[in-house]
Amino acid sequence: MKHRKIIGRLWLLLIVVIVSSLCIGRYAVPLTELGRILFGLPSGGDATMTTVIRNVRLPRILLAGLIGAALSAAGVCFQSVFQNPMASPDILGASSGAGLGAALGLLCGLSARGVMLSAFVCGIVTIVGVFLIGARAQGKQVVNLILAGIMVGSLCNAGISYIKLVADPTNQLPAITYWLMGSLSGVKWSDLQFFAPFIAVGAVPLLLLRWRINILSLGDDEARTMGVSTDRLRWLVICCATLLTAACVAVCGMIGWVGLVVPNLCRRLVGNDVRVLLPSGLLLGASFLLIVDNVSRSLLATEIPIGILTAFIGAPFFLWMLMRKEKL
Amino acid sequence: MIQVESLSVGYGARQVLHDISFSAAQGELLAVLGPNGVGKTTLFRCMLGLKAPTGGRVLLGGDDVRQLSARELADRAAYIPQSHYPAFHYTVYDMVLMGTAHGLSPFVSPGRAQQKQAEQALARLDITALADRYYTQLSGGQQQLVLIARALAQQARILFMDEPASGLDFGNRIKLMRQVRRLTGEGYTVVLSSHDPQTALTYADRVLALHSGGVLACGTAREVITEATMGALYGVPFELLDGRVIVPKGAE
Repeated sequence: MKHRKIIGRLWLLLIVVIVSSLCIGRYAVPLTELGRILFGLPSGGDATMTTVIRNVRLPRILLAGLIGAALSAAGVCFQSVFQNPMASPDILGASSGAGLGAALGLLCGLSARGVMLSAFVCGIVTIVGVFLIGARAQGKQVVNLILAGIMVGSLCNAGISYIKLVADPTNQLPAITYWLMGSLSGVKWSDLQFFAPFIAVGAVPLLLLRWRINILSLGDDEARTMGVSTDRLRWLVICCATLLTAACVAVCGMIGWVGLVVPNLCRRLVGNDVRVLLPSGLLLGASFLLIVDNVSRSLLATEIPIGILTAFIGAPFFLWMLMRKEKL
Repeated sequence: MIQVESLSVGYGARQVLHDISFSAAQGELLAVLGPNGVGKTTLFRCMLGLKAPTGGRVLLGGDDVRQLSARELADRAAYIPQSHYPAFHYTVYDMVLMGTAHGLSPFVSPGRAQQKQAEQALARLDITALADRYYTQLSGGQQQLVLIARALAQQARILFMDEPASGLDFGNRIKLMRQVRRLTGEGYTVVLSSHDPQTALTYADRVLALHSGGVLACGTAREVITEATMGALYGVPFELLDGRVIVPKGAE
């Protein structure tokens, strides 16, 4: 089958990207050494090499892959649920809420883990708020939800601006600014251990529900007459996708565009059937963010925040998509 | 099979339908006629359990639609919307396969049995050749057949068709209506809304004429499609030729 072949190739791509990511960097590691280090064989290299691979690159690479996969999956699901290929994971304001949480945490001088937690909790709280407002509004639920998301998101952004204004300009302000640009530098195994379960809890139901998400994308009336409980299904999908988004933003800051660009690329590759689209989005999203992260940590002497790079790649792609004549 | 009992529906304070009663037996083709905006679509939404009535009730196979779950409803009645342009395109096969959803638990993707249901539905309408084409690339008539195939894959015995013939050329309209008649011959009950009294006269067993929110006439096609009733319904004079052809008056 055609789709199996594409998924197989995406797996291959991911493996190649992971292996090369482990080797690439300011501290270049030869492939043979890498194998020895990973499999615990006695290596000819120095101890630093082992530390770099085991404690720096491996957690960072796994986390980058996980975040790329999670953001793409969230993007695929939001697009199908809102019947709009231009939807992205931050459409309901989860990232702005998380950003506000992080800014607050940095202002209060919390530890790195404290900032992550604050971002995660605020992201979730924001979405709960958006749900409550959207559910109370009159008229079309999906439209209300998106409008509520945009409004609450801009409220959070105003909060972030105010915090920047009152933050100490010598250390807090740069920290907040840098955090908002998104970065994977300095992630530890413990970060991975803490957030991976959230990502799993968000991703597994989406994978199981993926065929039904197709039906939801036909519109509520049609889906309901086909026996699908549209409201329940949509809430479940949005909750899971939000969990993914909030967890990602909490760990690595605002990384935009992945959740928009990768799903749309995948739609071209494998079509719109979420049964195939979701797995391919997970795989391609992981590869995409890994490649961008590799550029971010090895292009210049100082690291470029990954959020800037994804925008450099994502924005032109989005514009190209807009200018295409045929329907996506 | 279908019983509508003094149904009233409205949006907010505005009453759209008032005290509507009619019924359709198994194997019947019921055509709903009425001018634009009279509430045909609203009536369909009520019968499919998508909109709550303000009064009265709709019974499908003896049960009130408001008491049935989405899955139980999908088991009895299928909806065939006007051919449309969904946000994302799917292949014809995938579209038809979606009709099998109500028989599956939410966390399960369709398996061999569902695939077979979809293949049979495509074969019954002779559109197996279209299976791998994209739904959005088909003509209006083909899209309508795909949506009917999806309803067949759903295996419900009542079919609601929202203006199936609109936008189809003369030949395709006849082909479509022949397929619909074949289905009623197999025991399906079909309710369709139409803009064309001629289609109703030629193919329908019973006709419901809606006018300003109420029932103007309801009965066999011969009883309802008369010069007087159609004139009152559409506000223009008609002439019935031979008892089989309805044309605007003075059209020669």
